[in-house]
Amino acid sequence: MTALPSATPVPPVSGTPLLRVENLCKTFLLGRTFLPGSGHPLHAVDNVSFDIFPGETLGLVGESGCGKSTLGRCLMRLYEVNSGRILLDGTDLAPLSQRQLRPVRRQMQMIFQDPAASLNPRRRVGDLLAEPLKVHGMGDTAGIAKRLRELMDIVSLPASFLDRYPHEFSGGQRQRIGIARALALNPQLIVADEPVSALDVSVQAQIVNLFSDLRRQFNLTTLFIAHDLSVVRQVSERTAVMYLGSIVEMGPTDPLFRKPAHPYTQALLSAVPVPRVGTAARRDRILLKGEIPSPTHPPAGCRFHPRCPAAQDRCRSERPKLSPLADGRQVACHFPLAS
Amino acid sequence: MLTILLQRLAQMAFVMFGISVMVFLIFFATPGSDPAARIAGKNAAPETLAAVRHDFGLDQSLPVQYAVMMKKLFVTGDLVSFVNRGLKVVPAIVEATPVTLSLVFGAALLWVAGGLAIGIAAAAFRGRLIDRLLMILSLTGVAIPVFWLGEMTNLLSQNRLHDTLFFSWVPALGYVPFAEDPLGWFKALLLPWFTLALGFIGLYGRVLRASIVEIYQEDFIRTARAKGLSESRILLRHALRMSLVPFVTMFGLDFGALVGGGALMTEVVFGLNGVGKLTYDSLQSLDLPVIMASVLYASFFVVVANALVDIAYLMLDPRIRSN
Amino acid sequence: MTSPLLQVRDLSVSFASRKGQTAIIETLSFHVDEGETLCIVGESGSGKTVALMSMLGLLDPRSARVEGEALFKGRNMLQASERELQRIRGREIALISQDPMTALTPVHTIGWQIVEQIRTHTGLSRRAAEARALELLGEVGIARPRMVAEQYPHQLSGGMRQRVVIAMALSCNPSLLIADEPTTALDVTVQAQVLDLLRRLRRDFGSSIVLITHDMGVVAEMADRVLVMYGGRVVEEGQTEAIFSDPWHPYTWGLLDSIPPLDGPRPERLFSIPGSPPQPDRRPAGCIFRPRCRAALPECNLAPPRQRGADRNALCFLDEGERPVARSAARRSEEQPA
Repeated sequence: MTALPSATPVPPVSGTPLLRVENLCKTFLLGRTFLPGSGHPLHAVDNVSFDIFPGETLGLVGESGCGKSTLGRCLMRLYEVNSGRILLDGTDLAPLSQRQLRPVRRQMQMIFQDPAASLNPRRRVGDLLAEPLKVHGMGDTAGIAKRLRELMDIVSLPASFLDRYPHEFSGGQRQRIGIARALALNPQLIVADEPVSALDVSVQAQIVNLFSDLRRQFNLTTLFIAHDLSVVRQVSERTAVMYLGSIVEMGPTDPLFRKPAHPYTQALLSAVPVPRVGTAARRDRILLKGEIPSPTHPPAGCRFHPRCPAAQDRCRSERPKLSPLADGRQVACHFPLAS
Repeated sequence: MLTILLQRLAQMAFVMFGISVMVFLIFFATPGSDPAARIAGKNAAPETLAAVRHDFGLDQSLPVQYAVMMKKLFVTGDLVSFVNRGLKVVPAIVEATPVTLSLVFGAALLWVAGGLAIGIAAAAFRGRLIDRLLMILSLTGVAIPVFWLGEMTNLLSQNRLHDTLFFSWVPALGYVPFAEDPLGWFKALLLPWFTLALGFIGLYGRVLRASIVEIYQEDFIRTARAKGLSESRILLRHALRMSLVPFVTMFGLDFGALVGGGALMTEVVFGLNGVGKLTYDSLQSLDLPVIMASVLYASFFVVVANALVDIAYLMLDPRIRSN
Repeated sequence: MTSPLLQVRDLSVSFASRKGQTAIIETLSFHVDEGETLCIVGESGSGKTVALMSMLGLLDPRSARVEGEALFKGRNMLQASERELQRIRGREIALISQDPMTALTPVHTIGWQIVEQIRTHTGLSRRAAEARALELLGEVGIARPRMVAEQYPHQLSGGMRQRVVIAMALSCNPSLLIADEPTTALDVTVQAQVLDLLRRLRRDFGSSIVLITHDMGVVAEMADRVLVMYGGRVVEEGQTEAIFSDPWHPYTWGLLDSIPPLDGPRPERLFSIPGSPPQPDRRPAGCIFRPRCRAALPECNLAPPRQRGADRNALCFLDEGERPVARSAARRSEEQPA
């Protein structure tokens, strides 16, 4: 099969990126006492660089503990970063103080995995949605009321829900409210951290569709973090795969899924159970040995080598850099598969 | 494990030092009051004041005063009360300590055993009649004031029913040292023990039941059932140990507070001259040296009890051990 | 024809609530044959877990009312005494629960917990039980069983813990293994390992498996037969191949079509089921799925009949002739964005 007809138009990956992340590092110190220099360093995000262009959705996949959520939180500056730059529209957010960040916060909003936990249960939906508008001084009472009805319409909820409390809603409805809140200020960038993984399968599809609709409607730029590969494939133009704090492969979604270049991406894809029976579904499964090593004691050389079916001596000593392949994608592997 | 213990010991020493400095500052460095006048007591003669000033180094800097005080307390042990002329403070506390320790240790044994029994029985029969009866009984125990219970016990055992078979063994009020007469010691303390323990039995039983019932919601209890274990085994081997954490926490706080003077009511009612009574008397007469010494003594036991609680956590829950 | 290993007839479970009894499961009937893997699929609130817990007597008898019949090897589990149930649980029917992080008692070592189960059901000495425990840990693919046996649950990763739970479940060679979402809490590469392990164990031990899941991918890989539950009822039942190639019930269509594909063209929009699964106390009358069904008919206000075919059935008004048209109409209705 060549040139798959992709339903989602791939925007030209050129021009100036809306978000440029350069060599971002975030280290946690575990078991720290009051003594200086104590604690084991955990390199949750280890020298990560990527761009997101206006109107694009970048999918970020990886297994638990790979640092994908930490990365999302670093971008939002919910965590202090250790080093590196976060350029939003040319402004570096990394060195800004929380006070300096306040005007920038309007430009980027986060959607969380558990909508129940991120909505204050004692406030009505209307108040929850109005809060960011008021904080940022966006319009008078009438203007805000109009905007609230607009937002509810965008996420396909009746305006009457504005007077109700979060607990009165199902998981899917709450996630719609979470999305409406994130959209309230017309942000330039959305960071969605596992927005569908807490939902039932049938509801998950609704929210995935909502993301597609919103992108078409508002030309949203999104970092979509998820562990579910098929969801990421559905929503993103480009995909980045993380393993133990680093991006191991990144590129346009369709080729990456069709012909993964990194052995980890390949194993990850082959591990997903496919809802089909018969011979068509029987793919060659690569069963990885063992589990993800502890991020406090990452293996030397390529982080993936102890589990890699194709590891060689060089992989054990030398850490591969993320470097471009001929087809425009990037891979951190000494012996990439698709070439 | 060993490093955790050493860390804890260092912490204890640090906390004790902090407490002693605070207590010292409260009594000696409160602006607008003359510590000499307070140590000397009401209406002291000018010569006494001068003697106090000299004795406690009050004409020197605060650190020196602190050092003098600590030396009197811990090195020479010759801190003297001026209110109670000639009362040597340290020996007085040393004398009162075994009384309080005997009282509190015995009561603690009773309330731990009673609390465990009630908590486990109520949890085993939760929702049934036995559970409800036990919970009502223990609430009653919590609600009865210690002094009233003590007085009633005395009224019956010393007075009304003293001549009956039930209470003829009860000795007169007061403490009998264990070294002199172990049986007499036991007889003298048996009723105070029960009096002091009753409220705690009720409280601890209720807390234990609540935490067991909470643990029963956990997945691992379902696993234990699915393994085909008997209900009693599930309760005793799987639910109980995790449920003991709040129980132990409370025990550390209560035990430390009681040894540190909190058993005052029981001591007074049963004529036991323990630390609580001593502290109470010194507060009545504003006897600064005694207050100072007994507060430090009390803080020592509270700190020790808390350290013991931490060690108990380590034994109960392996997850804490490995952190 | 031999009788099935487990035969459940008209199982109903209701819980006491403030509004009186709330039905969770209504007249559920199914069977599990010797050596087969039955997958029970459904969303949260469909009652799939409750059904099996009620059978094992693991629901709180003070709040749950269980009616019907569950014949395991001919004995009715629902009438069995607590003592009889204790003998069956862990020995003949073993449970693997969803979250390996919380399924093991935190204060005992792995070895202790496996030995406990073995010694509860067999007369083995402590030493023999310990040897058996190490053997089991090896069988579920744990590299250093002796070391793991001395560790506490919190010292192991999720995948390792799930292996331990599986080893424990297998310790008495049960004839029925109930696995309640055994891989939902695991990462996808670890899930692949655990599914592989379960398949291998079924081959080697020959136990029947009831696998509860919401993931149609897992169903396709594991199941011989599928039971689709919605709102406390079986809405469709059949051989795996039949269900995947020709699903009868609109809910099953939705489950299959709403999964984004991993290969081939990406659809513009996913087929989705509108609305959310109903709360047990707010289930509609008539067909429970009607409010979310894209193929609903006027008669769906009434209780739907059970359509039957060879080895399969579905609870729906649509019959053989109406299905294809209704399904393509339902698919088209999604293409207009809501």
